[in-house]
Amino acid sequence: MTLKSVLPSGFSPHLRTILRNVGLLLHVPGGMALVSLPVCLGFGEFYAVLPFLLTAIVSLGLGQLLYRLFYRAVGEMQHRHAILTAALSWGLIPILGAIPFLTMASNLAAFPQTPPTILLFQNPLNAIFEGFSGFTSTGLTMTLDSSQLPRSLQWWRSFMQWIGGAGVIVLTLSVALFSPDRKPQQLYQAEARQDKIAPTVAATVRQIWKIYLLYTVLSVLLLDLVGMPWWAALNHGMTAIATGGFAITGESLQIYGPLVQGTIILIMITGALSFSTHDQLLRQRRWSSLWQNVYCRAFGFLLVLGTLILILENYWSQGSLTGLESVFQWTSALATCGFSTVQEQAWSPSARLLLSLGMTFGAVSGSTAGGLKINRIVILYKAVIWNFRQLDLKPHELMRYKIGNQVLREAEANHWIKNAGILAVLWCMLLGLAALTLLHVVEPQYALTDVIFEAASALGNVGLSVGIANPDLHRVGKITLILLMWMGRLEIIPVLVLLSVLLHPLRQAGRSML
Amino acid sequence: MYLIIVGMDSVGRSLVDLAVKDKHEVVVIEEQEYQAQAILQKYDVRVLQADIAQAGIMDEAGADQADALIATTNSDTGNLMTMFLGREHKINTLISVVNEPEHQGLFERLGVQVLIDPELIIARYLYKLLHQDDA
Repeated sequence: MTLKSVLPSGFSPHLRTILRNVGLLLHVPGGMALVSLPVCLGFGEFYAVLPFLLTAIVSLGLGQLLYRLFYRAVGEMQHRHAILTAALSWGLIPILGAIPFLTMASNLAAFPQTPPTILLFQNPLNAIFEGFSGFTSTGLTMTLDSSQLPRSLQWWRSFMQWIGGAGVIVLTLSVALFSPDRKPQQLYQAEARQDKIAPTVAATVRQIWKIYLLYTVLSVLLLDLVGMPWWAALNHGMTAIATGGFAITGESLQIYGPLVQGTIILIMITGALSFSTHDQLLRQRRWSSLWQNVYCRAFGFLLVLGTLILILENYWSQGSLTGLESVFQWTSALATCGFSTVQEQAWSPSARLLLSLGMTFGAVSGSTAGGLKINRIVILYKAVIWNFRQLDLKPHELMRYKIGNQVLREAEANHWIKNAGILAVLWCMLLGLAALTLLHVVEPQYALTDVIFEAASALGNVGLSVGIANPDLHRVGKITLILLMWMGRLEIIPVLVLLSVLLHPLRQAGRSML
Repeated sequence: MYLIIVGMDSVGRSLVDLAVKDKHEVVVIEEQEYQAQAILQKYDVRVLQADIAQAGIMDEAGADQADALIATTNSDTGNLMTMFLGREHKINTLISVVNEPEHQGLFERLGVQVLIDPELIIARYLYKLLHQDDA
């Protein structure tokens, strides 16, 4: 009996295509685990070899299984397939990424000198949380003190974020390339033109990897140059360009001086700009290509504006000028990186709300950053302006929809506004729901502002924390944050599509019972 | 200068291009949606999609502050009406393309500067180039 004959007949060709692609993507954590083996050996952490081997075996095994079962599925990759593949993979890969934490914790539990921060990962939920925070490049953590983790686990956390960051660039740019065959071509021309790096998806992905690798190497070298020890420079370089925010110091980046912090700010901003803009920048070798892009310009404007307001706010509440701290936290929030140099809970509630707003906005689309994305904020802002202008329009006058150097047709403009509006509404609803849930499970010292802050941080894939995300959080709270990170990374809708597909048989069963 | 240009065939489009480059304020009146949208995509000008015969269209275009009105459609009827409306709104400079040479008198009696048969002008120019090569 072959494997194929035992398959349930209900596997539609669409599902086969999706599962095959998910199978391919499940190879990623397996390959990552193999790449991590030299790190374990290099630092003499031999107890880490087995956990990583296990991770590799499970991921590659599962991946191969799915791929071999469905490799005959040659159905064309459609927009919907891409969306479902992304949602499913981003839900499964982090669970595989949890294996090293879980196994290493249970292996080391026998030794009395093992620090408690490792032992906490014996709880599978903590390990899975760390996996999700890694692969969604968020940065919320279940560690008590990341400086006490084995180097192999420090590396694994940074590596997950680094891969997750590249993954999201590839996702946004290639989904944009898949769209034209589903909707009237003209509607998407502008979108595709804007994000185009290379004519095919494969060439685009190659180019992105090249740029990403180049920037990572430069970041690490730069951090090393300004005085960060090389192991810290490697890890923080990777998590900064991925706008991930995992640190290996135990208290984020408070321990470093202004020069290092300034360098980190620079790297975070680099990671938060669209990689198609980076591509143009590298090709044309002119800084003006950054400035010519309306979304990069808007990001720069919001960086400056937010910093100024935050400085004023902090001056108002604390009575002292907090220049560098304000620049750093605001950049970290808006770029959705999540490094911090202060205890956020010490700041005033209004400063925290302001940061929550920044975390919800996020940075430029097509970057490693999360959040609603500046692009949508610009569209919604323009929608308001256009709405006012429409009131001034003469009866026969035509409306000119201009964004940056682009003039949109009315249908195009409405399509963009609709999509941005829908996502913004979903975003707010999720934040509300999550805040409601979290309020019931967090410790009493956390107020509504804190809960909103933490939810915005998880949904925006940021990682700034007022302390709610910690190993003692109730499991409902952890699951809520995990769901937020997952949904936020995929910009909500793919996850909703996936859930509706999964619930479809249930709905049908319910209907037939009636 | 504040210019109102009626008709977005090739003459009208080229005129918009020149006027926008010289930073004049331009209002375009064009009846066809496709042409009107095309201009809107390319130039930062106000575009009214309407027939010149529609009531109040010259007021919408801001005729009372216009320095010049230029008609470039391929219908002399429409052009003549445009010029007449321009005279009514006391616009200083009135210019029109005249497609049929025999209509020249009608336009001139209205005090309009005319450009007769643009295609003939191009043809003459080409013919002149030909002769220059001969010599």
